[in-house]
Order: sequence, then C-alpha cells, then structure tokens
Amino acid sequence: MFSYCWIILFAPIAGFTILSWYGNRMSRERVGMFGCATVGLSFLVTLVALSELLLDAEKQKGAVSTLYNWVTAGSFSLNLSILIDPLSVFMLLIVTGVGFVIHVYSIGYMREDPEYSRFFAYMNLFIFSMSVLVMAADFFFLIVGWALVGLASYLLIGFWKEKTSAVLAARKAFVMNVIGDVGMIIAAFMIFDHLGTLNFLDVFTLAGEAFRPNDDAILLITLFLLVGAFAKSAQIPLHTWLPDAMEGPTPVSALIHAATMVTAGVYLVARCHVLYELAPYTMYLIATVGVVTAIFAGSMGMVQYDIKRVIAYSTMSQLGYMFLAAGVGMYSIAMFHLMTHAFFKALLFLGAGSVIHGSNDEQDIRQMGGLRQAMPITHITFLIGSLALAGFPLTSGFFSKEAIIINAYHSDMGNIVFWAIAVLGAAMTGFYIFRVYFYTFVGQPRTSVHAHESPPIMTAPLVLLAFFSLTVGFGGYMVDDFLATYFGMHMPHPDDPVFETIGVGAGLVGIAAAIVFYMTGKDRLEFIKQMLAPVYDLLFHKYYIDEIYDYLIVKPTRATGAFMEEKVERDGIDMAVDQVGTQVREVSRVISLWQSGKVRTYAFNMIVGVVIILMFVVFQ
Amino acid sequence: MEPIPAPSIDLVSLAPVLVLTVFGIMVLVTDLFIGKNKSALVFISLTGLLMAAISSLAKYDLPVYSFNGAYIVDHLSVFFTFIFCISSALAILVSIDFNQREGIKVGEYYSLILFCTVGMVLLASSTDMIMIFLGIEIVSICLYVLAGIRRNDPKSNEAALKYFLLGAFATGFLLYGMALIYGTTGSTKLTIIAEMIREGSVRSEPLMLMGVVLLIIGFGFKVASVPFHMWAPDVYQGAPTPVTAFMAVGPKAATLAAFFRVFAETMPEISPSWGILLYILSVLSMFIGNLGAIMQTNIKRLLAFSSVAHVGYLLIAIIAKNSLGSASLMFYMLAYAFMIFGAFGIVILIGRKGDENLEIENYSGLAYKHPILALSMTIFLLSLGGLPPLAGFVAKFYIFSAALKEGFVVLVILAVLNSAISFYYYLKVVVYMYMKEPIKEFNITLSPMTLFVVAIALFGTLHLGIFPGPIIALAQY
Repeated sequence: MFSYCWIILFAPIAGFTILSWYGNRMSRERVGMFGCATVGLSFLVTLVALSELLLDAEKQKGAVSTLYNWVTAGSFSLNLSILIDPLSVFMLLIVTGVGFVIHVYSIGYMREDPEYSRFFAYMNLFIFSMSVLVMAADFFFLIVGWALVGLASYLLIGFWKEKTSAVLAARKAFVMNVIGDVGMIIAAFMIFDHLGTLNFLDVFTLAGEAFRPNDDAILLITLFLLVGAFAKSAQIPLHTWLPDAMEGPTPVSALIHAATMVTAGVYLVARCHVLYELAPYTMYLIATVGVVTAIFAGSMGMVQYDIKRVIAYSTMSQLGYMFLAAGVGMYSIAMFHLMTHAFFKALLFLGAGSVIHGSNDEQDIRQMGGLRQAMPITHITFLIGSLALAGFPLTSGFFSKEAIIINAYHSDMGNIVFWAIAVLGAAMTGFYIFRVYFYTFVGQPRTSVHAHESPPIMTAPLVLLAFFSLTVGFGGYMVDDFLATYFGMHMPHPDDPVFETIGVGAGLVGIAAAIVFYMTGKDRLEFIKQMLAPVYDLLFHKYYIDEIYDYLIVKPTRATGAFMEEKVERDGIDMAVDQVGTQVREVSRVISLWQSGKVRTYAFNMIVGVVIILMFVVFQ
Repeated sequence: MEPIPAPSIDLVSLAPVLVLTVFGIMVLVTDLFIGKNKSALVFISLTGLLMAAISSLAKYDLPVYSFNGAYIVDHLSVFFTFIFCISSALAILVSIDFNQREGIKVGEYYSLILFCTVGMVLLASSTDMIMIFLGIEIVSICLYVLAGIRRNDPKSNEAALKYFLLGAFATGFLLYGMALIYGTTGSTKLTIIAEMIREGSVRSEPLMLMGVVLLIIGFGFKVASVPFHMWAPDVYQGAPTPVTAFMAVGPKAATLAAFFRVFAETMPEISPSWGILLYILSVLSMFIGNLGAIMQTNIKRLLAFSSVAHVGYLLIAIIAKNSLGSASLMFYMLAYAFMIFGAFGIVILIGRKGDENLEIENYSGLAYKHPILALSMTIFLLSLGGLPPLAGFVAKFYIFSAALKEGFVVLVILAVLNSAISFYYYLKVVVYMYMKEPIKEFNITLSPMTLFVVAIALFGTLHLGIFPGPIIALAQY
C-alpha cells in the first residue's frame, strides 16, 4: 500500500543529485524548470495520496510502506519505511505545495545569482529532507530527517558564502540545531530502553501500558524530545539563531524559516501526542514556553527596522501560538494554525523579498515608503498577508488564531493567564506588522531609489498565496475532520461571545495603534478622515493623545523591546551559547599544548596514567 | 622425568602465516635481482595477500585448535585475517605512486608490510599469551621500521624513534602483566586461564588483578587509548602517509582482536574489575580524542586524534563482551579500513613532491577544482563521524546496540554525544573544501593507483552503509 509515495522522496533527491552534478552545464531556464518540476511531481503524488485517504476512511488509520530491511541487531531492526497517514499527508501538502510555489518564485528572485543551480540543488535537498522528517515511520528516520533539514538549512543560510555575517549565522543555526538533535537522540535511546522499539505505531501502542502519567521516565523522554522541538522551532531559550538566519536569501526564509522547517517542532509534539498526554507537566511547560515566546518575540518585533527581522520575530511569536495550542491539547488547532501560517507567512516573506528586490536590496524600512504606487501587486498581497497575520475577521489567520486564543482559556488545560497573554500578543501582532506595512507602502518615498514592480514569475506566487491566505480559514472543519482519526478527537467550539470579541478586538486595536503612530502627515489625516469620519472630531486633539501614548505606551514598550534584545538576548542567551563554544575550544587548546612532542614528557604521562590506574584499582 | 610432549603440528591451520612469510621472503630475494622498477614486488606482495586470504578458509569445521591449544582458527580469526589482507593490500596500492613521488626506493617496504601482516594474523589467532606477545612484537618492530623508512626525513626518523622508545616502555608493562597472570594461574594458555577463573579460585587474587591492569595498560598503549595515546599524533604525523593509514587500521584491528580474546572471551567472570577500567579509558579516549581534534590544523594530526576517539568507541565492543560485540568489532574494523584508506588516499593525492599540503587550509576550494575528490573526502569524513546511511553509522550502530543489550545506556549516550562533537571538526574540513576560496593552485597529479584505492574505499563505505546485511550476517555467523 502507498508504495508509490516513495516518489515523493525520490523526485527531490534526484533533483538534488542531478543539479549538483550537471547544473553548471544546464541553461538557467532548464535548471529552474527542473528544480520546480521535481517538487511539483512530489506535490502531485501527495495529492494522489490525499485523495486515496479521503476516499477510503479505512486507510486513514495509516499504513507503513517498507522498502527493505536495513539493519538488524538482536531483537531490534530498522527498516527503510515511510508512514502515510492523515498527519504526514497534511504536512506533505504544505511542504511540497508551498515549497513548489516558493521554488517558482525563486526562478525570478535568484535570476541574477551566479550560482543559480547550486541554489536549486540545495532547495531540492531541503524538500527531500523535510519529506523524510514528516514521512518517517520511526524515531530513527525522524532524527535523520531532523538532522538533514538542519544541514540543508545550514547550506542555504550560508548560501552567499562571501558574506561573513551569513556564514556566521549559518554556523550558529547549525550549532543550535545540533543541541536539539542530541536531545532527540537521548530521547530515542530512552524510548528504546523502555519500550524496545522505535517504531511510531508500536511506541504509541505500548506507551500507555509502560508509563503511568507523569512518571519520571515519560517526563524525561518528553522533555528531551522537547529540546529538539524547541531548537528547531526557535522557542525560548533556543531561539537566537532564527533572526540571524535572515541572512540567507529571502525564498529560503520563506520556505525554511517560516512555512516548513521551523514548524517541525509543532509537528513533533502533534505526532507524539500520545506520549505528551502521559506527561501533563510537560504539556503545561509547552504551553507556558509557547505563550511566553509569543509575547517575547512579539515585543522585539515591534522595535526592529529590518523588514525581514520583523517577520522573523513574528514567526517565532506565531510558533509560540502553535505550541500554546498543542500544550493545551488542541493539536488539530495547532496544525490548522501551522497551515494558515504557512500560507500567510510565506506570502509576507515573499512580499518582503519582492520589496527588497524592487528597491535595490534595501532591507531597512526607514529607507522605504510609498511603495504602494510603484509595486501595486506586491502592495495588495502584502496587505492581505498582514491582515491575515493580524487576525482580521474572515481572513485565514482570524479563524486559526481565534481558535487558539479561545481555547487557551476554555480547554481543560487552559487558564485565564494563557488567554490574557495570548490576547496581548495578538495586539502586538497587529501593531508590528502594520508598522512595517505603513513604513513600507504608505507615505512618501524616503530615498531617491526608483522602486519597480517585480516580474510576473514573482508576483504570480504572491497572488496565489494571497488567495489561499484569504480562503483556507474556511477549511478549518475539513482539517479537523481529516486529522481527527489521528488525534482521536474533534476540536471543541466553545461558545463565548465576550472572550471571542476581545480576542478579535485585540488584533484590531493593534492595527489601530499602528495607524495612529505610523501613518505620517497628510496620509494619516487622509486615512483617518476616510476611515473614521464620524469620530474625526474626537480625534482632533490627537496630539495630546499622542504624547500621552508616547509616555505611557510607546516608550516603555520600546524600552522593554530594546532591553529584551540587548540584555536578555545578546548578553544573556547569546553569551551563554558563545561561551560553550569558547570553552570547548579552550579545552581543545589545552589538550594540544599537552602534546609537547618530548618523549620524556610522554613517558612521564604514561607513568602518571599507570599510577592513577593502579591507585584506582587498589583503593576500589 | 616426564617427557616433554611434542606439540601437535597442524600446518594447514597455519597456512596464512606460512604463505605470507614465504611471499615476504620472495619479495626480499626478488628485490636483489630487479632494477629500480619495483612493480614486480608489488605484484608478488598482492598475490601473497590474496593467497593468504584464500588459505585462511582452508579449515571449514571451525573452531580448530592446534599447537596444543596455542593457536586457533575460528570465526573471529578468519574474518580478521580478511580485514588484514584487505588493509595491507590497500596500503600497498596506495604506496605505489606515493613512494615513486617521494623517492622511497627500498624493496623492504613491501616485505615489511607482509611480515607485519604475519604478526597481525598471529595476534588474531593466538590463544596463548606467549604467542600474543610474539604477535605484538612482530607487528611493532615492522611498524617502527616502516615509520622511519624515509631515512633522510628528520620527521620520519623522529616518529620512528619516539614510537620505538615508548613502545618498548609499554611492552614492559604488557610482559609484566602476562608474567603475573602466569604466576597466579600457572599457565599462559587462555583456555586454562579461563577455566581457572570460572572455577573461582583465582578471582580475588590480588596478583591476578594487578596482571589484568598491566595487560590493559600494555594493550591500551598499542591501540593508542587515553592516557597512553600521546605518541599517536606525533607518529601519525611524522610517518609516511601510506604507513600512517596502514598503522591506523591493520595493527589496531589485530590488537583489538587479541584484546577481545583476552578480556571478553577469557575472563568475562571478572568483568566488573576490568570493565570499569575499560569504561573509563573508553570515555576518556572519546572525549580527549574528539576535543583534541577540534583545534588541529594538520589533517594527519586531526585524523590521529580522531583515531584515538574511534578507539574509545571500539573499546565499547569489548566492554559489551557479548557475541554481538565481537561481530560489531569485526564490522567496525572493516568499515574503518575503507574510511581511513579513503581519507588518507585523498590526503596523498592532494600532496605533491616536496609539498605534502597537509594543512587543512590547503583544502580550501577543493570542491571547485576537483569536485569528485572533494565529494569523496566528504563522504569519508562524514562516515567517520557516523552519518547515516554510510558505513561508519552502521558500524557505530552495532557497537552501540551491543552495549545497550548489556545495559550500558550511559556509556552509549556519551558515545553518541561524542559522535556529535566529532562532526564539528569533520565538517570543518568539508567547509574548507566547499566554502572557502582556494589559497593556492592545486597542482594535483591524479595517480591511477591511488584513485583506484579511493574508488574501492568509496564503494566499501557506501555499500557497507546501504546494504550492511550480508556482511553483518557473516560477522555474526
């Protein structure tokens, strides 16, 4: 069953192999077409698998397709196999679907890059790695995929290798991800130690009998798995690599650092929900870290001037929401937000890429402005993406985020604090993304650079993603139905108009605050006249309000954001991570010094070793 | 007076040793009659190795004891004989062009490799401590000479002398340990020692324990485990590169085979006393080896430190002391042979006369000039680190499973952690090859024999990684 699904893996790896060997000898058009075609093929095969699952409810229980037995040691054996079930197909749809759109966009974006074929080779490698991750049928291949996406991400962040900052960022991301990998490996060992298997289906069946809720063992296993999940999904305190990763080309940021790879942590929690349900303490931790990351990252997003960094912090913050949903046990809502986020965040990144592309590689929003006229398609699609991110009613983000916020209070594991922080985060979201929007698209151009609209090969993906950002929200029930077999439950729909209204209102308040602060001069007046004509008189004395706001909200917020960035992030977490590296190198240097090259030193050291060993034996 | 019993002489089981000795002498004699072209010697040596490998299969009703139980032909010894023959053959192939380039014109070179192989086969097949000692000495003496074979190169001389002095020192410990064990058990035969330990009379004898400790020290030096590893980086760096590769594989495999026989097979009952020591040595070797490698700038020193770390992993197989342990030891050494000869093959190719290009910096930008060499080197290094689906991963996987089966979870976690550390420096070389601009022109002669070795090694690394089934089945037989 499902043996044809191996094509999903083989197509991109074939693309990677061929492009890395013959890419330089192929024409640019060929490279681009070929790179997209492999991912497109994977997407089509995923659609076939999807239709098979939808048509036959019996198959939704999941099936494993095995290629051959790889290694066997005693009772333990590893097969080369893939798992096809609603969850993996759901993830594959996003990976190959959004991946395909971003590949097409890259044809335009990377057009002038001298190493065009290397870029597409790496992108294909990434799609392959991510497919391994989501199709893995056991913890072993999950870890393999986990490490491979880290490698692909490393290669792509450092793609412009003459840029020192990019190489450093790539290295940082890699090291952080290796920390996560080690956590996962330890978790896998512990699982094997307790259950004697690494196979997902077996592990999840056996876990219920082997562990009592909140056992030490299950807590440790889930925590170590979480190290991997947090490192990959840039949650506190393993998040510092993500903003730096923006040094890579923008399509990479869109594909890897927004739509797919960073969501792997959420996928992991959802995939292992059986284990997490046995460890309510860990669940509580997930929700807490998620919600804290959501406002922590949101607050830093409010003071950034690099367009890509704002969106990067926003990604962290939205991932925090997904973890919050997973932490309170609403897995399918987490997956739903993962999907809507993939669309609108990829859209925002690609839009930002289009802006950067159109204004001669400028990334500082203070140097932009008034791009509305010069880049009409980018403008309108970016606006749609921003609205979706802010949770504007009836956009896709509205449905998914609203569901998270309401369940942060109403689910069994939720509470009012989660809800309140989530609402605050929603307000921040509206604020920071519209701040970017106003800086970039509204007002007068701030420099003399003549911006131009991007070619159709780049705007077409934008339009497509904008369409989905507007519409996929209505598919929430379908997503829930589709995933219900795996999670064993449907998502609840608490009926609480007050809390819901506050949730929606928060996003709108954020947007309104951005309007008040960042629409400049004439534009603001115009805008406010148009939008708020009835209350115009009330707002006439806006300058007093401005100043009061400035003292009460803006300055403290800025100061908090700056403090978070300067002290907590740079001096605290970053330093700690750097120190680990420095200390390791120091140890290595000492070992090298010890190696003096003198025979008598060596002989003396041997004697010391012998004496220590003998003492050890004698006194044991 | 009792008559001394004549030992039962079974020359068939000794066949590989005899074949190798005869061919070694043939190489020496032929060398007298031929001119400067040494290719005839290469041919004779390779034939000898091939015939030795085939003749090791002469006994098929395993295991067979001969010479009064001092020599055994069993599964372990046959498998290891194959590893020795393969690694010696690769060493000879990789030496041809190197020797020509560097002007090493002595015919003894090839016969020394054959004699060294004799020692290795003896080591893997001995069940008597005297024989083990003989094997170790044959191997070591050949290596001392091989390390110093470049007589005009002070570095090569230094390496040989250092190796010899420290080696002689360590041999003292080994011999003393053997003497103490003989003193308590009254025999040098492993079978008899094993029986006495099983009976329990000598288990808590302090002299016995002391002997065991001294044996560990002696063996520990020969396999370069911490804290007796300090010779390795200097000797690896100073010896001619093909000899370094040879040293890193064959002799190490042979010593580990004897190590396994003496500890895991002969004295499993007193494993708590030696197990804890090996445990400590293993953990130290992994950490010191891997951390030491991080700051190295010379590729040969880097590989030397990494080989110290690999000994740490290999000791785990002995600690596990089960049948999976011996199978994993065999598989690991076979895989290791391919990875090491591949990596050193590339190191040899990158060098040229008068300038061996041994600094890691010299690998900058290799991927642009010679993409296939760079890719091969990447595969070998990643395999050494243990990346699936390469041979190094499967090898580690089996060693770790053997240890997990005996419940050494912490040890395995430390080992996995170390594998993660090791990627740091393996990837450093890869980064240089792929991401830096060349610092000077590569002036590489793609010598066919060395390329051939690299190709074999590449095939072995990939094949053992992707389809390990048949070989593992052989090893577990």
